[in-house]
Amino acid sequence: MASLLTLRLNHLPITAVEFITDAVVLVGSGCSLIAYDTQTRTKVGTLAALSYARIHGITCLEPNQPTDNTHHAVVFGSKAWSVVDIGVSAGGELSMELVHRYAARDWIKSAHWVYDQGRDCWMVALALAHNRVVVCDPASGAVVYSAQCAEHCILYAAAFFGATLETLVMASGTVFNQVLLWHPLLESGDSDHCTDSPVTSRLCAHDGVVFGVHFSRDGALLASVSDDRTLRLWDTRAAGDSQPLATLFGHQARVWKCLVLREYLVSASEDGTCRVWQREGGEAVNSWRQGRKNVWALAANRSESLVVSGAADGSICVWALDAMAGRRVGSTDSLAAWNVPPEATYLPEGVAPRAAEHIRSFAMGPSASSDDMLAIMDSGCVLRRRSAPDLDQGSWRLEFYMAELAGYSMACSTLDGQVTAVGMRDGSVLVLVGSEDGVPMIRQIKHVHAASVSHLAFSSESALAYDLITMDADRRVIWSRISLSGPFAWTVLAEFRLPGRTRMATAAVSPRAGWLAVGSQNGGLYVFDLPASLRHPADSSAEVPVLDLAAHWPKIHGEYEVTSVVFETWKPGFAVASMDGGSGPNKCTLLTGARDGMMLRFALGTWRPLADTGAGSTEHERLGVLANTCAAPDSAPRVAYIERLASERLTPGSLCRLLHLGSRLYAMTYRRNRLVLLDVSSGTELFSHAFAETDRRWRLRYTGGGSVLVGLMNKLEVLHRHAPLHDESTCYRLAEGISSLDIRAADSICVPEMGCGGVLVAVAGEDGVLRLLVYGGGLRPVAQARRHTSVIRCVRFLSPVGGQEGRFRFLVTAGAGCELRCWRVDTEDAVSVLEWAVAPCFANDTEARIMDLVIVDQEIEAQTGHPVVLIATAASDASVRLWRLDLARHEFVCIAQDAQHVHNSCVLSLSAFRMGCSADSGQGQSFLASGATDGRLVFWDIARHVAEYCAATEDLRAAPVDIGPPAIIINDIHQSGVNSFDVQVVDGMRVLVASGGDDNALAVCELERDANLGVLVLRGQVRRCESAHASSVQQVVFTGPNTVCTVATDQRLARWNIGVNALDDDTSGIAMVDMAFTQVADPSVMVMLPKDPCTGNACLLVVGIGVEIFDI
Amino acid sequence: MGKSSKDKRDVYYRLAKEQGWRARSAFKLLQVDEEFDIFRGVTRAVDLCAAPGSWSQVLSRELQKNRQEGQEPPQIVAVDLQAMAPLAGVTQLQGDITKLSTAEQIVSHFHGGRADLVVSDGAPDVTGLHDLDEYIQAQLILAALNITTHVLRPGGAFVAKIFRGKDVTLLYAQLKTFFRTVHVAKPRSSRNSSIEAFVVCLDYNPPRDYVPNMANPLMDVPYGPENPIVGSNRVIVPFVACGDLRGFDSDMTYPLEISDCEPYQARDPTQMPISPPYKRALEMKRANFYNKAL
Repeated sequence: MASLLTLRLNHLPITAVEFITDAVVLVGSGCSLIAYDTQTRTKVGTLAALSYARIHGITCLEPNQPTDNTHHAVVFGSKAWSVVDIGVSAGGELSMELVHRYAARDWIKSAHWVYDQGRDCWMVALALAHNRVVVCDPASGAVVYSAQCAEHCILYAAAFFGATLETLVMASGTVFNQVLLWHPLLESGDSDHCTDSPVTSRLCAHDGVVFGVHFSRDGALLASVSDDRTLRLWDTRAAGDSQPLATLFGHQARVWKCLVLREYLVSASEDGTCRVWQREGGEAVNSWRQGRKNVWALAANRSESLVVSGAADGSICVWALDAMAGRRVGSTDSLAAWNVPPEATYLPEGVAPRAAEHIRSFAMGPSASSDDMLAIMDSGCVLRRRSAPDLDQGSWRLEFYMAELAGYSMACSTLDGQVTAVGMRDGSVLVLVGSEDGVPMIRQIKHVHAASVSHLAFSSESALAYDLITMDADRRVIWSRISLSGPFAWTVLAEFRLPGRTRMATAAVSPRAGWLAVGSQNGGLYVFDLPASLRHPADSSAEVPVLDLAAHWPKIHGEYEVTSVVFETWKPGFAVASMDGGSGPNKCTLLTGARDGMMLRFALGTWRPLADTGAGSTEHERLGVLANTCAAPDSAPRVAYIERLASERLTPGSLCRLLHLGSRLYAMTYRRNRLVLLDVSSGTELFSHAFAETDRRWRLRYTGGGSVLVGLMNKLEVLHRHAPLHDESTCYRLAEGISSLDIRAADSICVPEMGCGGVLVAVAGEDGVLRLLVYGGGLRPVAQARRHTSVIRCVRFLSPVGGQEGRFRFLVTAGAGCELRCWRVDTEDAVSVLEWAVAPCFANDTEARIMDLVIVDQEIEAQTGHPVVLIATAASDASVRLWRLDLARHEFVCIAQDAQHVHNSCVLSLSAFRMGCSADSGQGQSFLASGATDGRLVFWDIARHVAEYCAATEDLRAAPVDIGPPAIIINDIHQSGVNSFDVQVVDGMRVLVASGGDDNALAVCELERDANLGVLVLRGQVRRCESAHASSVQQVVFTGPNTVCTVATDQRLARWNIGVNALDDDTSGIAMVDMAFTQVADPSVMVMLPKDPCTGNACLLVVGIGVEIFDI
Repeated sequence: MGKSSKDKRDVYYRLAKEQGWRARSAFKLLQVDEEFDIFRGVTRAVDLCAAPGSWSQVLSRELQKNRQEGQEPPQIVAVDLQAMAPLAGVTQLQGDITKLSTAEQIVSHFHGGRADLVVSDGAPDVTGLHDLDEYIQAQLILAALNITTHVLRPGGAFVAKIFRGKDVTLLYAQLKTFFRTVHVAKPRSSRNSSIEAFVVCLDYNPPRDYVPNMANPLMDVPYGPENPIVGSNRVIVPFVACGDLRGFDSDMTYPLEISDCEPYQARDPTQMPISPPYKRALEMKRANFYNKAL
């Protein structure tokens, strides 16, 4: 039959990786072999290497002549293998050619090129899962030799060593926790009765199944990884049954793969990380997190300097091992330590010694030389340590002594180290500026504050002008500017009033955008609107203005201290001129970081009312938009807003500081007693050291040249070390991941402004993360958000509010823990997603899971002009509920529920439809249908609720009413759960219902509306295709008149003609038109994508473990 | 989540504790029997991959119940690689089901007789790679089938857990060569969302020329014209949902107080879990190793 279902594109777990050269990486994704160019980081070729099996491994044979550019690769997975020729031309052009596809009689665990001296040709040795070796001719696929290990058991892992048949050794990782080394005693042919080959070494130490084994290049060492979370290293030449040379713990879940390289040991694990150890000594060198779960594949290049890893989420990372090493500082010994000399050596005459002299505060600077340091001692002495090659430990010397600094000093430096400001007890600020000649310029600015200066924060938009924001013990906040363009100048620009008992923890100012933002010690964000005179401050002697709050958002980080406020000045289009010609605040974006480990992104701007909401501000705080509720400035109607755009948890620990250098963002984090400098976009750890992060005893200085200097302060010493910043050429992703865990829900919507074929796809699943992907040519992740605490089971887009051209789209998600949420998607510029509304928990306890939801109706409320939506949910507590979602109020209200619990079992699926839209009834009659684990379909007449929900009466907020008795119940439509069904309305008065069950069946029934009684009646019999699939049918979708597509856990996608004319016939009239295999394991949802306006193609999106799109 | 949260989410987990079963899977075998009457007339039964022993518990209780007056007491042999807590009326055999010696030991327990019923609820620890997990499960079933061909009497029955995955039709094709009827059963106590189901193979009838052989493993058959990868003529066996529809629903979230249950009280599992392979890693975690090492 003509194929009507063809694969268009997919995004699947990466289960095999291999380097061809340093410039070309091959990966296995489903049955496809994909080649990436590591220079351009693009896909350069795709080949269906196996016909339907997933690729589990790739093994290359190096060309034996340097002039020969063809690499022969064996690609294998389950019981299939193929030979692929990969040509890499001198110009870098890549070609992939499938030479042969073969079948093996058992699962292949490993493949190896081996030279047959007798026949003078290369053969392929395959390790089979029943601890057997077959040696095959790559030209014919025939088994030439075979051998069986004496230990008959199942293997999870195998590896070969040896270039010739005579020297071939196999390492078998067994289900019985052992690694067996054996020489296959090869016999001709593929006999079932070959002599058992004895085991030469039995490596026993693992406490669990052995999942991975790997030989070192010389075969002297073997690494193995196991269910017991360990990597063990073995000497393969030790006599007898030996003990491991090393046992390495570190992974927090099962370990799947390992490599033993010249210098390092590398492992990949279920915990979503890869770890690197020194081969000698086994010291942990580094680890990287690739995804939430399961890094399946790992390979090194020939020179063993690069590693490529592939993960369950489809991501592919390439790492330079030497760049990974040296970032994790194991012991203090590897840091340079500068101890301050004894007090007696520097204390000026006549100054009394302190009881316990120590460093109160330190700064890295202030000269141009990169490792200059200043230590402000408790005694009031300021010591300076100048770096010079000939100087040693004793080179601290007294810079000056200031009695006012004794016992109190708060130092803060600019990131370039040029300027250090020290807050003093008497309210003055001491400024130290680096100079060409190395002698710092020292200025004391008196009476900046009336009380002791407790917090200082620098921010700068231009060179030679530094903005300093200071707060004193009385909570007065002052913005001053230090100008170095001419003679040193200090100007106090403004004072800011913080409300109540708020204490500043950090602050930033952007004159360009016209905002000053303060982060408070109790988790709040406070913003001030700079008047025009302050945006381009002239050297004015005018009175210092006192500014009031423009907008604030208390507890945006809960009770956690906000440690950073950063204006995104490096982003193109950072500050957008306001509509009213420059007098109002500009729109701009900023980031905050706090001790809760979160980084939040906000927009600041003038208030654009979505509606006159009337809802309490507390609701808005949680939901993302906060309007100024403070007294408006003199010139009145302007209202500032803070809008939360995105949130991301950078660390499970605490976020100490966000900083940007160039156009990259970095974060200093603290977790589990370890200070870690992160590159935010790649998640790479640049520096990590066990160090108690109290009172900000660390400093950073950007020294240029791609590294930062990290300084750590102890009582009488300063430790420091250069940390290389992120280098795109050493660690990068070849492909982004989508989801490490199963995807359980998907929906799509057309977004015409995203260009031809622009379709936005929302997916969500077991990890509770909502992800947005753009489909157009490929699938590209664009935004994600996590608010659900558990699995998300359903996602539905609302119809566009205000037409297709609108900038915003809304969607609703629901899942375990009774969570039901609405989100707003902003499609302008970069797509972003923001939580918009949360439903109150409805069940008596939160164990109930929402299994499905449908959007029943959507209208504009006549009185207010606001969009209101009617939503139905089905849950595991046997309930069917109707919700009114008011977008303007950010509010879900449950208006009706199935009080009788008609299903009395877990409700799995829902559908809503309207029929009888003909002349007499106008709007038609709305029905809701639900399917449950009891195998029944129940139809509910919800006309009354649809008619009433839109009016915003207070009655709706009262307890939910009964949804009403079922219109009709169809029993035994399936033997067990009705997993999915779809409804097609035929000529307004009849509906076709197609359902798929856990019982492998596809059932079709037809219902008719009796126009006089307004009731539904079943027309004829339920028709059934009992064995539509070999497994549970997960989704049924009408793709055309009388045409449905189904997908099941047997990984088949089928298209059916459900021939309505066959009604009076004896046969079911259900005929399979086409069936295709899908690489998506555990497919859970299938949705129709909006028709591509360019090609006119209709597509089906299948999601599960991975994503596939089929043309239909 | 409190201690009761699993009790709410999983009613059979709770019922198993209340009724003293070692695992909730006991209900699955009981419900398969409700539908297929597999225990009728059974005097000799084998439980493969028996630990923690809930299916042996069911066999022991139900076969005693079925016992006719004056009949010999039923003989039940439970085989597993690992030891399990003793059960009254059940003979335990610690052994590997791929070894001929294990088959011989079973037969010797039956004094040379053959079993009427072989059951297996074994499953590997899944990795998350569905194709690999399904393969390993299939090998487990084929190993169980292989030993079954040594110990089962003609006409006897075989019940085993399967994963209804992408290649399940290959397994069906293999089972159909040994049994006259093969069904796939889904007890209501097995979750709708779970890939697990049970093959119920009745009327053991090996091919005429078949000689039981433990030396070589039984292999799953490849796809072919009789059983293609896709299309409507794949080998699919009839599906039967079993268990009372009015009984409990394993997917439903129940309140703690259920009308036809005894008043709720939190209970510990009947049988504590055995020590996992990552026991040492757990100990190190408790000793704060991972906090220091990272």
